[in-house]
Amino acid sequence: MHGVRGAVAMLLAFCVAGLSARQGPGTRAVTSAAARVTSRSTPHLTFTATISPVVIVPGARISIAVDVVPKKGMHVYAPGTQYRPVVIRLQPDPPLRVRNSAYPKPTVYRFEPLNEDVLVYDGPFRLVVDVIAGDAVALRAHLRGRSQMTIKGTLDYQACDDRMCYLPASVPFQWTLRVAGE
Amino acid sequence: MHRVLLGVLLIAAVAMQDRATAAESFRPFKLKTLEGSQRSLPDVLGKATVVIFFFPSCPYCNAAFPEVQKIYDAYKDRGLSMVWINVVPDEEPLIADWRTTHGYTVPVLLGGRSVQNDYKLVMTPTHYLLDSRGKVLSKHAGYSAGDEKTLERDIQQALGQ
Repeated sequence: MHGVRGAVAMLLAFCVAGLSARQGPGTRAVTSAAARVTSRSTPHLTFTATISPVVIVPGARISIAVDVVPKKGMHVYAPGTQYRPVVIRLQPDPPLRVRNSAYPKPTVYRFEPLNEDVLVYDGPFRLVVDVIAGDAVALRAHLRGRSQMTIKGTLDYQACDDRMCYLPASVPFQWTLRVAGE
Repeated sequence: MHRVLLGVLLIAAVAMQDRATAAESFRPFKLKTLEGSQRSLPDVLGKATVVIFFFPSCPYCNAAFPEVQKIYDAYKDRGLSMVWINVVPDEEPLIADWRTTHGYTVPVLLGGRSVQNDYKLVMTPTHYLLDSRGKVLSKHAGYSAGDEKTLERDIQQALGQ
């Protein structure tokens, strides 16, 4: 029995490894069937991006939350430093208007080589962006006749550890959501 | 039988040598300067040449470059050539002011996104020390205090001093 379980576990591990290898270096994507949650893993961090609600209602708020977990020893930069801050960038689309972006309180990191204090995130944190689809008459016109809409974005960041900085990264995510009729 | 085996070994040895030689040659480039002219690898080769991949807002580049500039100043008249290649195109507009602010005089070239793939870069700063023919003498990624001393020793050796 244990032998069968072991064989199944090995087969699953093999399948997962094969899937990861096909999805490109450093990035793994898992999108749920409901297309609400997208997870990514890079050499520097993992994140889960969640959009709610899953049906776009013209004029109603849509919230995008990105939960980021830097990998051990890694940090990314917060706004307010001279370095590239972590940011959610949404691909411009006429019906979409970004209303609000929220960052949590960063921590202060002592960067010894330059003898300076910088604002970073070195533990789990959440970024939130609120958008509104079609909040004006002109914008609603863009939505009219569309049964669904794809919202595309990237999580942009630069990660460093205590010895080096990795190249700036831009990790894409997207959801295709149904547009409610008016 | 022995002759066949010897032949196979000889072919394998030659093939391995070719691969090693190719790996030691720095990949050629043709990139723009800040002023818009083109520079290729042969244009920048000196008796010894340091090529560093960077971008202006890279924290460890900013930590390393004051010392690297000093090395350039000390050895440029003895045959050292140096070039810094920007690897983040959206930071190109920052470079001129960044050089002025920090007093850097090392020539800068503008690398596109392809440079990151061409040289398999994952971090900055990454530097290569080349000989006069463009062969890689050493490579180093990242920066810790004291790395500049190792670089300087390698440069002295490359310049035959």
